[in-house]
Amino acid sequence: MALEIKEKFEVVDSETDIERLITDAPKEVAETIAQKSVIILPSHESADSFYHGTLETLDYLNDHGLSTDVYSNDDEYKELSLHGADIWLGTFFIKNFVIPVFCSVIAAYIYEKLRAKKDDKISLKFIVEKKDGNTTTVSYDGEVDNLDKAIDSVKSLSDED
Amino acid sequence: MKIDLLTSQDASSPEISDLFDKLLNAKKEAVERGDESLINSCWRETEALKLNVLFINVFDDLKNHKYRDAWNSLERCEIDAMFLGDNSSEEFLSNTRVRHIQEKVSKWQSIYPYCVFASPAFTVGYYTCSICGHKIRPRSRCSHEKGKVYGGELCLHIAHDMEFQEISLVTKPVQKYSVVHNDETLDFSLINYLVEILDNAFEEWGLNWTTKTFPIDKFSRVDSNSECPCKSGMRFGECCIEKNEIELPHVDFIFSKEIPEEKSKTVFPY
Repeated sequence: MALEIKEKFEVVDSETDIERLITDAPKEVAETIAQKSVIILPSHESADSFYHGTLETLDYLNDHGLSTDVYSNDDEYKELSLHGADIWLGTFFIKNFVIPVFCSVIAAYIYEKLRAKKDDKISLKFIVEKKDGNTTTVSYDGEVDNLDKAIDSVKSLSDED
Repeated sequence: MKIDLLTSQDASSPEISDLFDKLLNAKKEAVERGDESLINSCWRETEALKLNVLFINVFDDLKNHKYRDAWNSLERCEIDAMFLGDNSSEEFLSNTRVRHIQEKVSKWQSIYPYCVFASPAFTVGYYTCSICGHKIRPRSRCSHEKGKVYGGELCLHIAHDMEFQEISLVTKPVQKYSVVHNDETLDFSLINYLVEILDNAFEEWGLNWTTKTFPIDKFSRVDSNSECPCKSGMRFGECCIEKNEIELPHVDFIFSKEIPEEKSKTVFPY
């Protein structure tokens, strides 16, 4: 069976908010992640696995002015190495006030650090906090060439109530 | 000192063997002196020389129709050139042909008929640093950066507690060697055409993927149950059989030398 990234772009209301994340977090990290601007969540319908390369993404975001952490304690953190040379970036919770910075940093990470080409396939999910604290999920699966529409969609949530 | 390194005869010459020995000795002396910069310079020179030799072997394998061996070595060239690229100046990469090899590797790969690969997925419990053995965790790192050279050794992350999840069929694999095709059933004519014209692995050449249209009567020998010549993946009878013309994928090769007239003509594969 061929399991590769198929084109999908979706913007939907989310039930995940920062209070819920903190409540459900492993107790060792709950206090820490409450202080962070971006939180990388487990991915691929998994409750505890992060995509291979997550720690490189984590370091890049932190090195570029975005206070970021992963939603796991050090002992339980594990990675999922997936089939195919597609870019499985993961799921990111983004606080409202860092949306503009996040959009430019994540784009630089994809194009410059990962050296993504236009026809590479990418899969990512952004859970974006709006000004009123409610959240919207922007999911994009498809060619890097069309990634702008997902990034622009996240940007537009910066001022939305 | 100038050494010829174009062919497999050059690669197996005593001069090349001596050069490897000299680099090894220079690295040992640099280690004794604790000269980190010289140690890493020896690593670069050695790896670039090995890469040149490996790429010459690829060319020989292609000449001898050992397509799968060449494919696997092309992947090795790709990985080695990437690590050299992350640890060398642009001038070094250009002077030691690493950039040439990188460019040509992806072009050779593009004219292979392989399109389906078996790719494994697995979970990794944790990684350790190959330089210092540090257990890498989200909130605990060592000072070594993956892909960089320290003391003449490449820093890699070693996976532990791996659990196999599944194997999937993909078109763009992480590991290119995981080809699922039977070579005997595939068409390697593009590779054969090219390798017959080239005299050595380092000649300049290029290619341009395009399409070319042919009248339907040129396809009278194609069975309606065969794959459609337009490469849509459908059967000929369900795809282009009723059309007046068929547009085929086509590649133009570009050479820096004159080629025999019979090689300049368009090759029609049906």
